[in-house]
Amino acid sequence: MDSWRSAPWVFWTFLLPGGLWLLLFFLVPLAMVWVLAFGERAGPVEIVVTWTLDNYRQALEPIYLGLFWKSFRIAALATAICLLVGFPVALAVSFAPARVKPVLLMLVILPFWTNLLIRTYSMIAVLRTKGYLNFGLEYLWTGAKAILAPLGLGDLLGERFVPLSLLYNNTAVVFGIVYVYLPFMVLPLYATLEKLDRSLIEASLDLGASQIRTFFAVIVPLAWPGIVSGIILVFIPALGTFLISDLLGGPDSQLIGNVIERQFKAANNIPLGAALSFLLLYMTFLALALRAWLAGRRTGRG
Amino acid sequence: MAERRSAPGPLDYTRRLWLRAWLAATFLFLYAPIVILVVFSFNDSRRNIVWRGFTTEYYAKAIANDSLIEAFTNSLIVAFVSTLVSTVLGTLLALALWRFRFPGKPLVEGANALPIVIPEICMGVSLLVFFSSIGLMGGIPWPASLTPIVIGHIAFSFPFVAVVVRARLEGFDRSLEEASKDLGASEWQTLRHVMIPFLKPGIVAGALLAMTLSLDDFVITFFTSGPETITFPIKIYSMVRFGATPEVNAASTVLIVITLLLTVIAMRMQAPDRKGERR
Amino acid sequence: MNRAPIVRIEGVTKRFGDFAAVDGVSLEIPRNAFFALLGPSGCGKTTLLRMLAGFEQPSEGRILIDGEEMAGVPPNRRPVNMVFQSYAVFPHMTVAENIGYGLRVTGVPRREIETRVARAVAMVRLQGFERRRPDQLSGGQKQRVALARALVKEPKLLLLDEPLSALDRKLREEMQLELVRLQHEVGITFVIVTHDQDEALSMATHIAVMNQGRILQISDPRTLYERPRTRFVADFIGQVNVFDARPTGRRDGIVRLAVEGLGEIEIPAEETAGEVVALAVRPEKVQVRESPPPPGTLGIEGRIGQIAYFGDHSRIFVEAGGRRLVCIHHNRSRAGEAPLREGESCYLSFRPEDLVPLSS
Repeated sequence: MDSWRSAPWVFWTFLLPGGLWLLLFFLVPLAMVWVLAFGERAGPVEIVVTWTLDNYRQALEPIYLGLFWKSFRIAALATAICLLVGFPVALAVSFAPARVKPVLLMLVILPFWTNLLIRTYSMIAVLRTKGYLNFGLEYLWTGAKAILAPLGLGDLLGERFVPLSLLYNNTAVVFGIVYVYLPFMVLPLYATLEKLDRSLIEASLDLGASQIRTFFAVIVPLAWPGIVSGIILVFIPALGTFLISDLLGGPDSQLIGNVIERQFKAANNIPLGAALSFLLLYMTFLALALRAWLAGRRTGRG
Repeated sequence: MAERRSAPGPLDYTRRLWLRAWLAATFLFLYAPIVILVVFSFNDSRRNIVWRGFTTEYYAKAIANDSLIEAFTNSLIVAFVSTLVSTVLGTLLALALWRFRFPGKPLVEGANALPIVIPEICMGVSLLVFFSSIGLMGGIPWPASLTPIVIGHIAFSFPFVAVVVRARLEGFDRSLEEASKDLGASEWQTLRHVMIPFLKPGIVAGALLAMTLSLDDFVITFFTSGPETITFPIKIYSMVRFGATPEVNAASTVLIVITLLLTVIAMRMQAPDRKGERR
Repeated sequence: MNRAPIVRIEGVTKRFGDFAAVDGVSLEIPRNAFFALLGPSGCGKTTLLRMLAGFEQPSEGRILIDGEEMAGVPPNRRPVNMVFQSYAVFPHMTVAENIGYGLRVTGVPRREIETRVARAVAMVRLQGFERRRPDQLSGGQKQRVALARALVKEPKLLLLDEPLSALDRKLREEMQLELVRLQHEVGITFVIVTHDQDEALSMATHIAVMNQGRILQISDPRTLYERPRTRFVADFIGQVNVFDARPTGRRDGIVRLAVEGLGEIEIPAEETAGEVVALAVRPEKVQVRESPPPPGTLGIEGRIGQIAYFGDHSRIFVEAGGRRLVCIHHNRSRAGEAPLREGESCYLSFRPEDLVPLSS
């Protein structure tokens, strides 16, 4: 690596465009929000920065803390489901024969090329009361009824099929998050499993460990960096989501993202919104620090 | 390898039945909603649930819908400009970080990583605040009205490009650069004739990613579009809030197809280079 | 003492698609042998080894280990352990954890694990390294961990997949002696896969030469070198001068051959297996001389083409009758004696009994 002094002109041409862009259109705006969190409203649009802590105080009131907690729970649950669903998928893709692997990988990546909004919207048709999931369930119900009725057990399933209310509640939000962010979990898992030396797994089997034992004693510890990356990649956007909860959630599915959005777009309480955004950011940094710590602990050991 | 003829080995996980079923179920989960969306854009019924026959009526309606077309054009312009600028900015920054050591480098690296990791909504609201304060939100004529959106898209796309290009740079043999200079090439000639050709697959991959991110984005666009600026996601969003209609399906289908098409084209552009690399 | 072979492979074939990696192999591995599978890369030796370990299933045929049929038995239930080419030492465990792993996962009591691990550590001379992590070990040390980890399980069969290929030459020679010592010490049958003839010759008690999925010859090292049966084996192991031959008659246990460049030669029939297609002679059995060969030896007239000097000996390439022959000349010349020079004409001579008949 060269010192920047060795070719200052080259250095500045390389660094300045991107560096300035980041400074001007990323760091400065963030700093403005940070400052606004210490402001007071002095009119319909006017904000005076008085370095008050009232906004943070308000943001830490039980109603908002409860929202943070709920967002955290929903994001954590969705992340856990993604991990549970995604791990076998990543395993299957990375151990697939060379001929089918690119196809499977493509199938995992392909949803990325569909707009977030469109994907979320497509869930509505699946989940609503007269949606396809209920359609399928009704079909199964009718079938089961037809089998059970001659046995005199027809009443077991009730008179009529009662569609489940799947949309406009927290379950739908979790479902939507899993749907949208599952590929983010699979890809880092795949990347580490792909690099994993196959002979380590063989060695474990050879030494007498069962497949399950091998999975927990060898595969999981060695895939650890991928697991942590996947968790972060799903958890952080899930924590800040507002579109998914907005479209799929019910009245009690307001997440912290929705509240922030409302402060900036509708309620116009920008100082409070700024304080809430920065609390969300601090949570993110905490998660990232946790990741660094977890990764460091593992590499420290291994 | 057609290993069908013999029993699976212990590591042939993909040949295990439960894992195949799991894979199939996951892909069904990922694709069924989108396939249903596309199929029902051709359904001759407003109520979108039972198949009533094939029609392209909703496509005709979507095309006749001027504001939808406007939104579409805007989104494509945003994606195009943002991809172009992001690719250049990202490549240059990657080169700077790869080649030079300089005071404050960890800060630049950190600032480059941040847009990738922080929740989009935080970036969205900060851009909203920023552009409002300098009077760029609303009240400006088209196409300048797209500026905030474009700037926002570039701000979150080019760090990704930088990461992708830098990953490619890790595989660069610096003696090639030295050989070029030894043979009398200037910095710029070396960049033009040695570095850029080597980096091309990385740059194309980065550009593809930037384009995908731009077309895929809702949140940043949502916060950086002024009251009069309509882009595709914003338009769809307002339509969806009125209720799911076949027009939304039709418009979404068109965007899906366009994105896929652009992706395929970009990949084709990348493919011959990959071969050249293997030689 | 049990005299039955520890491994019996019966008509085993392994196909990948249309390609037969192992093609109808039958062999027996005697108890306490140091058995080498030797062949060029891609000859199927590793596939055969992996079938013994249970990582591949034969497409046809069967494998018995200590009299037990192995079909359908997964690797973790086989009385067999393996030393991998890449060592496959678990990077997230210490040396002691690695060595104890196989005992831990099979539910051996902790006290017993401790004593057995300690013994295994001593056996491979890794005392003091128990708490180290694999990334703090050299290649040779990782190799020892892999060995101890497999031996501590006291398998009926220890499989070694090109175990020395990643080591530098000096270390490799050291480990060859070490492996032989260990094998004597533990009395376990070792099966080693290698493409290095020197490795096989110096370590093994039995060598099976493989090519294109088939076994060509199984012998002890000396027989394999001195009496190769096929042209491939003669060529693959050491250097050799080959003369094409054609049988012209046979009587009273004698086969008469027409040999290219040497004329008519008779050899005892019991030395031949199948149709003889060539005769071979090792370079160290060939003498270079300035005068015609004495009676009772075979001779060829030629011209010295090239001399490769190795200090104690030289390899001399002689152009004779349109062919290039090689012989080894021991550099014992005393002062005043003229050394051989390139371009000089000379005679090559060797005894007829040093000619080895080869079949195709």
